[in-house]
Amino acid sequence: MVHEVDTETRDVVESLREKVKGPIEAWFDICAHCGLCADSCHAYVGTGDVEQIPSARAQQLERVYKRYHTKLGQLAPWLVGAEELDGEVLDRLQKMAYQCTLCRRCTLYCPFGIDNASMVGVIRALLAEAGRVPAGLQEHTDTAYEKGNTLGISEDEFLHRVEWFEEELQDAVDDDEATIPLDKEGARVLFVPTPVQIMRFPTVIISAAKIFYAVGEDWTMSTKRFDSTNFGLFSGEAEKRRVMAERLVDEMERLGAQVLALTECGHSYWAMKYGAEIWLGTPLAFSVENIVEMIAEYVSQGRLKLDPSANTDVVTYHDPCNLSRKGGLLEEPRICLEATTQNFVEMTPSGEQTWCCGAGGGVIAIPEYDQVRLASGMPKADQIRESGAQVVATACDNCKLQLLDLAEHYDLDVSVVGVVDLVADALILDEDRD
Amino acid sequence: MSYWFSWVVSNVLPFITAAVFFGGLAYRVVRWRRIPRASVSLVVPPGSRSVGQTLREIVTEVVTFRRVFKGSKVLWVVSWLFHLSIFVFVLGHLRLFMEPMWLWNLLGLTPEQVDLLAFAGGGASGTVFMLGLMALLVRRLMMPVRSLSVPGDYYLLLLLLAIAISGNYMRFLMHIDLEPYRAFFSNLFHLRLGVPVENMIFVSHFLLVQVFLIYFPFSKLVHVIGSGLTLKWTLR
Repeated sequence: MVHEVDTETRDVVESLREKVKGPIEAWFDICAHCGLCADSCHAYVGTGDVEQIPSARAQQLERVYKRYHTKLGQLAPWLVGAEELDGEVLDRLQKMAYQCTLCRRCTLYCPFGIDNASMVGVIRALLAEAGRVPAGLQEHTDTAYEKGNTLGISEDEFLHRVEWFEEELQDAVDDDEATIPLDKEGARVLFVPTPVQIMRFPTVIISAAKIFYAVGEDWTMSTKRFDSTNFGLFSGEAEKRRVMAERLVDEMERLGAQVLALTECGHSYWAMKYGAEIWLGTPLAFSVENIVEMIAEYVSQGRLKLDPSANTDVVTYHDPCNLSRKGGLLEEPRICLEATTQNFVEMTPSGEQTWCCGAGGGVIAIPEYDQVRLASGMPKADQIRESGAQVVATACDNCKLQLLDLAEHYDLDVSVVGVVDLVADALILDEDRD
Repeated sequence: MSYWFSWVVSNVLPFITAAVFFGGLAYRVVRWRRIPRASVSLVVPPGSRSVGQTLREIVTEVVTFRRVFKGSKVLWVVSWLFHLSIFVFVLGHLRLFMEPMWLWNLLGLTPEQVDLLAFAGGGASGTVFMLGLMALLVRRLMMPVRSLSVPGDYYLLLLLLAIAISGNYMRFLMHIDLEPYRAFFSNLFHLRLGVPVENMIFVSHFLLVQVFLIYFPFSKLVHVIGSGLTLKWTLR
């Protein structure tokens, strides 16, 4: 009676006990159902759907856990509200887990600091084992796992694009000798972009190249590994997550670089900076830096000459959750923007308390969640409008794609740019540099 | 009948209550202490804090409810006063067990003044507590918090409400001479069986409090002893 579950869910039930341990046990015990997390969550505020409340997600996991792994839940499920893991519950869990963007804003608003993103991570891992990753996300993850990047870009295609980037760079800096180094062994910095930048936001790569050129950085890109993203982290597949992180670690080793410079992208920074060494079980032999962090360092060292009058628009900055709240990069993007714009304004709230754009955690890769995604972006759209900004700068593809959609959906009169692009536009190149 | 009922509530149940309450809490603490650390850091935003800073942040959180303030000003006023009232009346109940003459002398208070102070403090905290419970109940009955609530949440609020009402009844509508109560608790603490106090409101109040204490370690009230630990995880 108790273990009457079909084959699809049996494995999930088995691994529940293994996964629901550690802090989660304590969080189950003390969440007082106060509901403060509700108003801190963009998904609930934007959609008004109570199943989006962080505590509701955690409670759904708890109900299933109780059903199979507590005595009372087995003997008297009705008494403790335990719930069987049937198709309906699996569907609900799928929606709850993959519509959460893992932004961890609720953690800051929970009086007990309960980390609901960790619980959603557990639900995702369970669903991945049950083969219940939403289709679009699964496809991107599988493509990345099999072909090395999420869009399945071939090496030839990549080389072709880089050739064009290099021409753009040479034009921009007016130097025929300017190059985008490829597979340069012993370079200090390995810069890794995203497939979306290679295909859709190429200025990010060109701007980064321009900045590296301006400071005379010893850098390179790789023809093997040009995807910094980690979709295994989104799908919940631990093995793919590990392999994706390992690829970058191996490439760093092969090229002998000291700094892994990750492009404008939120989750890849979190994955490599905080996740990789745990998934691989060994400390990294190199440092992990975001491109924005590197630029801020160049600015502070006086290595970049920037002209703040290059941009007179009112510019605001959208903190990607993975860089700010989860990554700790709060000062760095502001150093970059203060140095490149004249009218910088903050949104309220910003920094560690930033509202999530509503598309993180892989949500943007799931077409069937488009309506929810746009609704979830409402708090962000509102605060952009209130800021009075004409330009929203950010440092993450995922946020950028969402902000562009939000601008259209909510009729915001703003343009969306990368921090790197603003820096590149404000660059003053020395005539007599050698 | 009612004598035997009072006798059991006064002389038998307290030992069961104490065993379950302390045993239950010990079980919780031992269980939490065995919990392995999360593999990935839970610190938001990441950064290093010293032990002192961490401690300071936890204490600030526990004393000021800063996170609640950030989330909702109305709830902050209600929940902060509510918790403060608990602190005040728990302190006040200590007078059932002791009469710290040295403290009254130190403060230069006459017995009449102490009684007046007790009436004011006990009356105010009891009233705030009762109103706070009602406010929390109303909030819980409204969306979205209703969707997060389970029967246990309502049970707890109603139980506390019954405790508050019986307590306030004794405070405001009865004249209580403390001596027989002190004698009763003194007997209890010395493990001597005694004659129960002849006051059915008190017996009901005492019974409800014991039901509450027995439920405590198995309820969401363990946030009282667990929140420091879970907050620490996000800080350090």
